Amino acid sequence: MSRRARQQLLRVIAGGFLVGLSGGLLLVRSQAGVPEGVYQAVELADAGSIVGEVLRPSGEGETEEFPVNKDFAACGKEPRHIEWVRVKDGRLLDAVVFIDRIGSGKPFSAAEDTVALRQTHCSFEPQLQIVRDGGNLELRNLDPVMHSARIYEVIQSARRQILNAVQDRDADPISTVIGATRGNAVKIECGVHDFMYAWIFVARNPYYAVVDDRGVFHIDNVPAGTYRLRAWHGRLGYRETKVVISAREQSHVEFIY
Amino acid sequence: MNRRGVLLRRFFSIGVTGLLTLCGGVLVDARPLNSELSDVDPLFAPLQDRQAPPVDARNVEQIELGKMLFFDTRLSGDASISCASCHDPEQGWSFADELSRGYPGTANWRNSPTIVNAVFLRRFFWTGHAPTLEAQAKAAGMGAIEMHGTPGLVELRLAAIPEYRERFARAFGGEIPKSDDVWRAIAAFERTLTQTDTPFDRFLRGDRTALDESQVRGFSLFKGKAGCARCHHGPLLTDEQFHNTGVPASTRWRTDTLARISFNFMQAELGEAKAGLSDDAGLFLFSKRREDLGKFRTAPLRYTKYTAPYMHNGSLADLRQVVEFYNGGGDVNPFNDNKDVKMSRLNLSDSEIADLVDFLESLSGDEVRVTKPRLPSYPARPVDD
Ligand code: HEC
Ligand code: HEC
Repeated sequence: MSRRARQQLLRVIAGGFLVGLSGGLLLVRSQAGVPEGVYQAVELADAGSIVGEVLRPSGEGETEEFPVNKDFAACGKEPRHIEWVRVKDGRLLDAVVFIDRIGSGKPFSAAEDTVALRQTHCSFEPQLQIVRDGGNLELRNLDPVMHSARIYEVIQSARRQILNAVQDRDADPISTVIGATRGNAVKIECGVHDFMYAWIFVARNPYYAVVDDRGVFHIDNVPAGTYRLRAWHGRLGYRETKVVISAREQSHVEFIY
Repeated sequence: MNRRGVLLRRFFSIGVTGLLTLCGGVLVDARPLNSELSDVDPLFAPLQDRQAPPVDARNVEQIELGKMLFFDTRLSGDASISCASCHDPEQGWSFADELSRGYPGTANWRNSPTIVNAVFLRRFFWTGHAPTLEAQAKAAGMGAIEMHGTPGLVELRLAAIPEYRERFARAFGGEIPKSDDVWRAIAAFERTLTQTDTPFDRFLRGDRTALDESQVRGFSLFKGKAGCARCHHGPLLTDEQFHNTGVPASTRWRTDTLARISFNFMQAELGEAKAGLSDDAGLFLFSKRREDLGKFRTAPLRYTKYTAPYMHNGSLADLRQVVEFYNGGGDVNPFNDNKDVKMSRLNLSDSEIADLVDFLESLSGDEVRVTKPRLPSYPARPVDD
């Protein structure tokens, strides 16, 4: 089966679960060994929304300089300034805000099933993206040099390897399943260029938002209720708060890093 | 070097180490565990920073240079990986995956231990096969699944950078950088990476409030009912002996082709390609004595708060899992016939397990952080030799 056909089939299957979800299907899924607590899409009558900001009052960013010692044609000669923490006007960028545990609600979008990661000019692009738990990552090398992606789930201070693969120029894309056993963080590094990195946030439900370039986030279509809302930043870790959602109302939340 | 040469060299290091152990027996008190341990405990002692402060200007230069080299990827074959890649200050000066990362295109076959307090050890590696920090650094710098460096090439790379030339001259004298001085400088830097001010040290020095109640109960269990101190004692909380505790085989040999290749490679390197060993046989690979099958060095317990996962193959994810492992009398590995007789079920209750974990967390202190050095780039044009 071609990759596209397989993807489409996956999407159809996933769509089937999410939209038409019948008890029978659910049973089949759990019998097939899918862990309990798998997210279900349902019709939403009385939903509310969350808006907010992720603040960094200290304004403190974090950068690190790496010399480039080889592969100048692809990587350039200038030292790399890696911005581990980006802050703009007291707002933290590159943070993801999400509802931690929610069993059912709006459907995932197909965009979260497969994401692409490119190695280009000795950087991973994009540097932060979201994939659904169990979704696919397609890795391409567009550079004229070898890269060596090493993908890890980050579990507090430990790591779990997901992929370790060298990839030459024009090599076939590498496809791998991205899942998180605990938490939501996946880090990608290049074994050949120590300044290359990217983050993936693994979503267990579609209630997440990446902050915009003003550090603002917006999560809509949330069923009324009380939830644990968390913020995550690859370098700075998690923050947590409780949020109460009422039908057709907007709740406001601030996170402080 | 041919295989016999490699083996001879390894045997040699073990011989030297053995000798050192005999001479250095003062460090660790190996008296049998007394069940009626008194308050002042001969089995435990605070870690004294025996590390003399830098003796002279040269030593200061060596440490500073060693720090740069520790972080410099140009020591590795393809200039991609440094000591810090696998001993990352942000990962407890170790590497946080079960098995360490490897040279690009490879996996490593063992968990990367921390180098904090490594200076106090008498021999290095999980199987104790390096006698000095210098020898250890050299082994890592040249190892095929570590840095794959070639001394002559590394020397020329460093010589191409004026700042390194000057620094080597100040630290060691001589015209151009020498690879043996690379290992000396790195070892000098490693000797500065110590953490001797932990709650446990403060407790042993007489501050009875340094441990909370749960930790004090954990300490009693550690010495008594749980029997940990039979192997983990002395200032580093290790007897520096080798035991098979029944650490389960790594699952990676079955799930990760690159790890499997490295596993097979290391067995071949150590002359056991045909032995059909299904798991890391530990000390046996070096000593060739059957009674050493599956034995590894009793791990020092300092700084472990920052170095999950645990054991030579990282098979235990956190300290709670470690304590549960011991509570069950250890697990099963292919060399189970050789399991240490001291390993038996402990019957610890849930709260005792929690106390023991709390105690283990008192052995680490604050994280050791350094500012990363600024590394000089190659000059735009080659310098004259
Ligand atoms: C590719 C990963 C990797 C690199 C690079 C690496 N190490 Fe290691 N290091 C390890 C692993 C894995 C072990 C344990 C190996 C064993 O016991 O067989 C180890 C062990 C050690 C130990 C022994 C600690 C102990 O408790 O006995 C020291 C010290 C050390 N390394 C220092 C260094 C230095 C210095 C460098 C750079 C010259 C370096 N390492 C480079 C992975 C690495
Ligand atoms: C028979 C000797 C022995 C006894 C008893 C023992 N240990 Fe160990 N311990 C070892 C050895 C050997 C290792 C390394 C094993 C390996 O990697 O295969 C180790 C490793 C560990 C580690 C992992 C450290 C690291 O850096 O990975 C911890 C934590 C630990 N022991 C705690 C304990 C505790 C707590 C007890 C008591 C419940 C205990 N040990 C009892 C010998 C022992």
